Amino acid sequence: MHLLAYIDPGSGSLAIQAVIATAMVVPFVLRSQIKRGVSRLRGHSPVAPPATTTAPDSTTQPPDDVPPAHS
Amino acid sequence: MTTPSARETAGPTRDPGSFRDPSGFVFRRDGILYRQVNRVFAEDWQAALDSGLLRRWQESGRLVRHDIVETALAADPERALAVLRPEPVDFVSYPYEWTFGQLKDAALLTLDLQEDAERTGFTLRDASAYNVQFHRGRPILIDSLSVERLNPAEPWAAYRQFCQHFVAPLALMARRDIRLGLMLRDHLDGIPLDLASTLLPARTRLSVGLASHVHLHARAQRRFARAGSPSRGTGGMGPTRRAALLDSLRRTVDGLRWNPGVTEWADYDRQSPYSDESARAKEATVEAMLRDAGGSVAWDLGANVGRFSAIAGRLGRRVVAWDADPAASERHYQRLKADRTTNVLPLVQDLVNPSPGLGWAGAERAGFVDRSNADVVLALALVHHLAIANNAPLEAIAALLARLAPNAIVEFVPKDDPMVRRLLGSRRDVFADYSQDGFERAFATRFRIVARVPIAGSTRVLYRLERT
Repeated sequence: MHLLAYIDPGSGSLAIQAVIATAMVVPFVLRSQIKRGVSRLRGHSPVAPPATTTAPDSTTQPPDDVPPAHS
Repeated sequence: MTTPSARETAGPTRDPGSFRDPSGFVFRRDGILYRQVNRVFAEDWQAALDSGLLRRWQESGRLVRHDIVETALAADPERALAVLRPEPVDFVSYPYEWTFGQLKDAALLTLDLQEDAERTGFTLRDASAYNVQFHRGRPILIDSLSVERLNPAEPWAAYRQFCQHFVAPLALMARRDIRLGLMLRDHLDGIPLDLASTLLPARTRLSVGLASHVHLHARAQRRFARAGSPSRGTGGMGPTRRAALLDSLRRTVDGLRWNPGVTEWADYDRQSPYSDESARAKEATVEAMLRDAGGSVAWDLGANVGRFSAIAGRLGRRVVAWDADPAASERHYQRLKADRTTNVLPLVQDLVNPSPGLGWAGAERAGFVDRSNADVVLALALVHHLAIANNAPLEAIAALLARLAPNAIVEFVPKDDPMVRRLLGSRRDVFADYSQDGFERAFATRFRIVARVPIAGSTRVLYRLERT
């Protein structure tokens, strides 16, 4: 029997996702800060923090919006 | 989508493409499309309803509308929690028939919905391109059962599917060759990432997005496969990491662009063989014939950038505009999008080798001919390509058109036309039957000629035909 038939590519995807997401956090947060800074300079009221920047009608804030302590 | 057939009135028939998801399935009863929600999905379903998320998506035109109907209509009553009657979409098309821009818009819709879902405490369980259809000019999610409650610490379960269904094909089309979009025909669960990684140019490793979501992703799959089964749900996501991942996917997809300005056909409309006079005469005749033929759905074969589709569209027909050239279809799509035209759907299709029935038992994804819902089919400046460039007998062309619709509007382009002369210039003329008489004889096997109108200023002739 071909071994490949028993391999689940999903495991690698789940693991690498956390790695990629972690690597993306710093540039993501920086960009969000810059965007906020720019809009404040232009005289707009400060926009919501990163995870909710584009929520038009979000009523539920994510419980922990700051980067969580990593396990 | 809602055409009843005698067989279906006997009882419910399950959709042959809807069997993988334990939380529900699609079926037809008396020709009407329903979706059953199973009991196992009760908690997530109730939570999704209570949150108002689905309603919000429906109101913004991003999720297909549905009515909740009597549960007694269920096809599998023992498992049924609820039965929905979704609004049928204009036409069911598949990712391997979409233009680059359509696939990209479907990807961006999926990301929008996932971002919105996460903000509301939910997540998309799937990111399948087959869950998106084009309805009234826009991509729309058709699977109302795609959301479940979010556990913020867990990774996005549909991440791999998103990369296979969207990131990989878009990257291959934009960075290697647009024709690689057709690989989606062979790979119904999206393009395997190791294959995409092999085929993409080496310079794509310098793009942070593609390096991560395709190349590194493919390597991780291989590594974990070799290492055996790792602990599932390595966890450690949280809202900020999830937001950063989605942001990165969005930037990756956004950054993939393809300029359709470089193929032979996308330019055809500008260097058309017609004088202004014959172009206007042809348009007027096609319009009159479309009016006479009536009906609500028109298929335009060889639609190019959609000049004649637009006429049918203006007459209020719902139009499916097929063309073999991905650049022509892409330009058509972008123009319709800019004009906010909602009743014309451009799709890529090579009539010489059209989409077959695919997937399990060859029935999960229906073939091109089997999906025809057309009342009238347009074949303008097309027959000479099929007959001369592809050696298809005129009778076989008539038979194909007759399978597609009860009415046809067909242009015959004779051998003395400059475009046909060009086709014949590079091949031996073995087309003895290719004449106006031969055309009429061949089409008489399937159709009655209702009208025959020569196009002023040319030797071409337009026919309005009715299936016999």
